[in-house]
Amino acid sequence: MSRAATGHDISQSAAQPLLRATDIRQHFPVRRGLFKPNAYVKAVNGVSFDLMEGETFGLVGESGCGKSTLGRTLLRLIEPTDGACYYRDQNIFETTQAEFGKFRRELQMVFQDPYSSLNPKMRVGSILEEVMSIHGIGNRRERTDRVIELLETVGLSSEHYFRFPHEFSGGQRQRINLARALSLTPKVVVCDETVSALDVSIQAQVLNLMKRIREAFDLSYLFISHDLGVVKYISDRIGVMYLGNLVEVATAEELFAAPKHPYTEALISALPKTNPKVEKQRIKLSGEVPSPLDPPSGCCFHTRCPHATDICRKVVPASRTISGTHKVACHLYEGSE
Amino acid sequence: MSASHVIDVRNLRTHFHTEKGRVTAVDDVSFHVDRNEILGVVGESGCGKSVTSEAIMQLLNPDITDFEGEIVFGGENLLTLGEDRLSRIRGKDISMIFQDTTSSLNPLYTVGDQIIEALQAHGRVSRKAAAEAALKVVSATGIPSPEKRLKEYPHELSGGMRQRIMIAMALVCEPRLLIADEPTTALDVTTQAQILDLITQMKRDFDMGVIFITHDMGVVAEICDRVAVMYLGQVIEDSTVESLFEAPLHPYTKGLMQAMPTIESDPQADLYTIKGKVPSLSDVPKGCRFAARCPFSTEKCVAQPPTLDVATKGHKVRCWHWQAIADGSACKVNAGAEVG
Repeated sequence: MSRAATGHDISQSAAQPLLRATDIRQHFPVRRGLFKPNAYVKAVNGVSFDLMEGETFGLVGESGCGKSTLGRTLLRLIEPTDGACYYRDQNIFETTQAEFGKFRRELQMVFQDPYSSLNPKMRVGSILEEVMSIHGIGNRRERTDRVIELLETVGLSSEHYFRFPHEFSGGQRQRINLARALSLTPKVVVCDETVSALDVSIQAQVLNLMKRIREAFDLSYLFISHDLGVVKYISDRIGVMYLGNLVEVATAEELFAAPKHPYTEALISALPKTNPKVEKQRIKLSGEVPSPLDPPSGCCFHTRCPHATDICRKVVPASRTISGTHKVACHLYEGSE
Repeated sequence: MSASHVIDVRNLRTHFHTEKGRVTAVDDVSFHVDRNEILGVVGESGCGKSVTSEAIMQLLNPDITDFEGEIVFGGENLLTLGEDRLSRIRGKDISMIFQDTTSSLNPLYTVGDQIIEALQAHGRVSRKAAAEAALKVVSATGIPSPEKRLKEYPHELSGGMRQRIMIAMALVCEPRLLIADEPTTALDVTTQAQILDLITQMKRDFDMGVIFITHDMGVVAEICDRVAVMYLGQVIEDSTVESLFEAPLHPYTKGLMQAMPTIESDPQADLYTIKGKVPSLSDVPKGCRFAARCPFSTEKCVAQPPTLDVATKGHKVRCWHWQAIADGSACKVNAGAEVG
């Protein structure tokens, strides 16, 4: 249902986004020596995108591209260097930590590692209730009832209430993590590689569950993953990141049917084939990802791009809309509408 | 060809003695690998794929492990060899590369020294000759400016670069068998594609057999010649890669293929799931090990363990009902049995 609604949102570009990130930067200082100025790792270097209501926005890219840092920055788990993030018409980067508390209730996160994200000394019931008591939701009995209801929502049962995290498998722990995020009835859930550590058959169960929850709770996901297959499957729109920059944004369909940015093309062509008989043409990228300490001038991808020209080495390409829902930051599409 | 198997594993059983009693992690596994061939071993965590490879390399702690069966390599049974002989085979005739390159390389030595050490450990080679051989093999892996790289320490290299060094180190003694245990799982797709190409090319150049352990069916389709699918310590399907992808016979193999979202999956439909989870090795089902999760299971499946039968030429399957499932006459008893 939310999928249809999303399609509607996109066609009317005037629709208000639920979350709007503008020009977000996250630079980490690196000390070089007593008298030398600090260097900066430019982990996220000016990223802007909108998250619509009920939408799943996938964020893909290879390790070190800044996708996780971006997710954490949006929820202020790391304070941003620069940029703004609007949620309900308010720049949540400008609120005080105390004010931010009420936003955090609506902006939740689920992490990759199902082992380190649950306190091993607490019972599952307490883990889930703690979140609600911090935010002052309900009295003790109401919280317990809610936790049991949530456990059932994520495919566990009330008998798991008194168990410890170590008694669960990886897949079940991710269900608990989802339940914890849901306990505050959030609007946006940032999923950082939530299914990446799971076995294939378990991953499928959790993905189906996440889709069901999205409908039932009317959620928007920011779904961060390196796995293109998973992202394509769950996302409405996808953003591709490279070296701290968002190089392409399109609907899931468009991105895989007609990738525009040379990096996206290479990324998709590198996927293993699904049928051994099919011959696949690969776009081979030369070299390695440059260091974010010293990103290349101009377009961040020019050092590996097969189509790079002079302008790519000098001028940073702006993000252009080339069709209604398709944006790309590449000089190749200069002037194309 | 059959006489010249690089390795022939026959009815291998591996038992561990644990606090909870004897656990059989690998139960009656047989397969072989020929020269210039890549055998994919596929399965989820705990299916025994890594234990099988560690049994071949004899890397398991002998105090808590028992073996049955035979692992025939170069006319010798690796399970009966002494430690002296084994250490001459390990790293020379059989090499292994791992998923985690950070912990497989010594952080205190340059990668060049580590490759030279591998060579010198297995023969009387002068340091100069060894250094030349190291340079040659590292160049062959396609690393840019190899002379410079050889003088660097592991932390100075990227993950993909380290995996290339691992491959160079494994190949410097020109092994007859390479065991690759999830070598690309920790890598990005673009790097993975490069490493898979490299392994395929090296297999051809060195005319060696490769056992490629993975959980990723896409990687299997990409580089393997034959596939053994494992579930709970057993091979449940063994086939050429073409035949497996054209018509997987075992319900578990089918499930594994459908459960993985690819860019071709329909985003509107639910993903296919295999219900439940893998049973514990200390509580192995009496009949078919997959029966409790199988949509086609019958009383016979629960009561009697199926054997690994030849279905078509070069395609074996361990299932009582593969024929009925293939021609569509088997009925799903647990239809819609997905757990939420």
